[in-house]
Amino acid sequence: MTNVDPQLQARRDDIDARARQWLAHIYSGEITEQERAGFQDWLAASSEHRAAFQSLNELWTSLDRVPHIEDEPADPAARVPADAAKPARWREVLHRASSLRMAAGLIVAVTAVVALATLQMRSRAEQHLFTTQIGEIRELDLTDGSKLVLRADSAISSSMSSDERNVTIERGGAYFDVSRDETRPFVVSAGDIDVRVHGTAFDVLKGPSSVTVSVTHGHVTVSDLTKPRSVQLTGGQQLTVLANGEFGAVVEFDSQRVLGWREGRFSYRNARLEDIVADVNRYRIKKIVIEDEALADLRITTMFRAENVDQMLAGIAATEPVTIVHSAAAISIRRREQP
Amino acid sequence: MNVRRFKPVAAVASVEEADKQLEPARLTLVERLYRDHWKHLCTRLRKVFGNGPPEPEDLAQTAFTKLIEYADAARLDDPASFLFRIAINAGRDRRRHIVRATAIIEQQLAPQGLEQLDRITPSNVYETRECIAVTERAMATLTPKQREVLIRSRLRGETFEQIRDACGWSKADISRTLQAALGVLQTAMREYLGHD
Repeated sequence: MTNVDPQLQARRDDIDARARQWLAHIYSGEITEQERAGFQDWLAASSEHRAAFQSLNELWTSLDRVPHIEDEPADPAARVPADAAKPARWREVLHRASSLRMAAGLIVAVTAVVALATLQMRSRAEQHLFTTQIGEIRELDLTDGSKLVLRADSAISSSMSSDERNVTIERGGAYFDVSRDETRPFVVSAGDIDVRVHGTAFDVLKGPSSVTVSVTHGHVTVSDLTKPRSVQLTGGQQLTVLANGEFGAVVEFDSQRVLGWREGRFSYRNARLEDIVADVNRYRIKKIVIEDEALADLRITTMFRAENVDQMLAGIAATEPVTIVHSAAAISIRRREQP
Repeated sequence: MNVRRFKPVAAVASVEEADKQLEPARLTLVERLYRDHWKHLCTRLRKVFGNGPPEPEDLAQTAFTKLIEYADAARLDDPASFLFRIAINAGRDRRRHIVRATAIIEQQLAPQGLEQLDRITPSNVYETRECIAVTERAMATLTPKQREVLIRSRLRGETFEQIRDACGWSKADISRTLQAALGVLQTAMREYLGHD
């Protein structure tokens, strides 16, 4: 193997990843005419794109020549379980942990770290699950040297192999400071969105209706796995992708404001009330509930500390057509009746 | 199970006329290929498609029919592989989205109007014995989920929706898994070919 300029290698890896994205989407059964035109444009944009896709397509085509490709692997542990549709075991672990937490009414508890290396996956990748409890913010060191700060009431799984570093956000979000490794891209997956980097720092928040990526330095590629679409972000830029796959505009952001959650400060500008409530609820046993779906889309600009949520709610009630109702079980946000 | 026995000459009406003109040596070759490969081919296809649809015997019959039409049948160095590929492609081509996907790609990468036989004629670097062996070894390193998604997409020609319905994974997860599986195979091939 020859030595290749790391930057050139990273560029090739990105092009290969894009080629894989295109091929997967073309065979997904869901490509539209518009996307077909996008594929044509992408191929035409660079001879490197065309070469990468051609090479991948030839590999894809050759697969039916692989002897015994239809056979189950000899290793029984490598077989797909018959109940593949059931949740993975670690999800069950998460569910149990959540139930216990609620039963015990714990505010801050010991973070569960579950090694998955012995689970069904045959992959040689090293896999871990990290969770935080309500109100808990936790700093973690990954085995590749990357550091991350996990938001309260969040759950992520990591998988480190010799080829790739993967983190999947199952719930909540995290701030990532990724150690540079040109040979192993670092991919953060949140729902249908992948964030691909080689070494940079960024924040990913998976909310109820969107995924928001905020880059503090370096550059990342944000991709929608259900559509052949990617956006590049550099330091100081933020992108929100809605649950329906719609990409918002790339905007500048104030890192002190957006990343203040690491010190218990929350700041939102023109954010959906539903997203704010989901974020705040990570710090509360007694949850805030939006009773009227139409209120979920209210746009709010606010700033508060985690311990001052009541003041924040009072502020919203003073400026928006809502009323706050406290009960033993929850705090409800209701539409204010017209006099 | 209702297994239709393949008759290499008379089974397909559309080629009956041509069959009559097959010289004895060629007929013998086809009969020998049938005797040697029919059962094994059906077994392989059943592992991919189960009892169908498409039915393995239908696909096998299509493959043998194509083999009869193929002028260079006598020079095939691996007829079993050839028949399997023809049958797999025949099964995939019954799915509209596969036909459309193939057309999208061929429109961009290949000359127009390729026949199926032309498509599978060994012409790409990954189809040498050495590269196939590399791919086979790399396939063995895939996770069960990666392998499942790859087989369903590549061999069975299933859409992500069909895979989701069968396995319970989200479409995004299926896409991610398929891309990861392809990444593993690409990396192995790149290392073998020596350019990284």
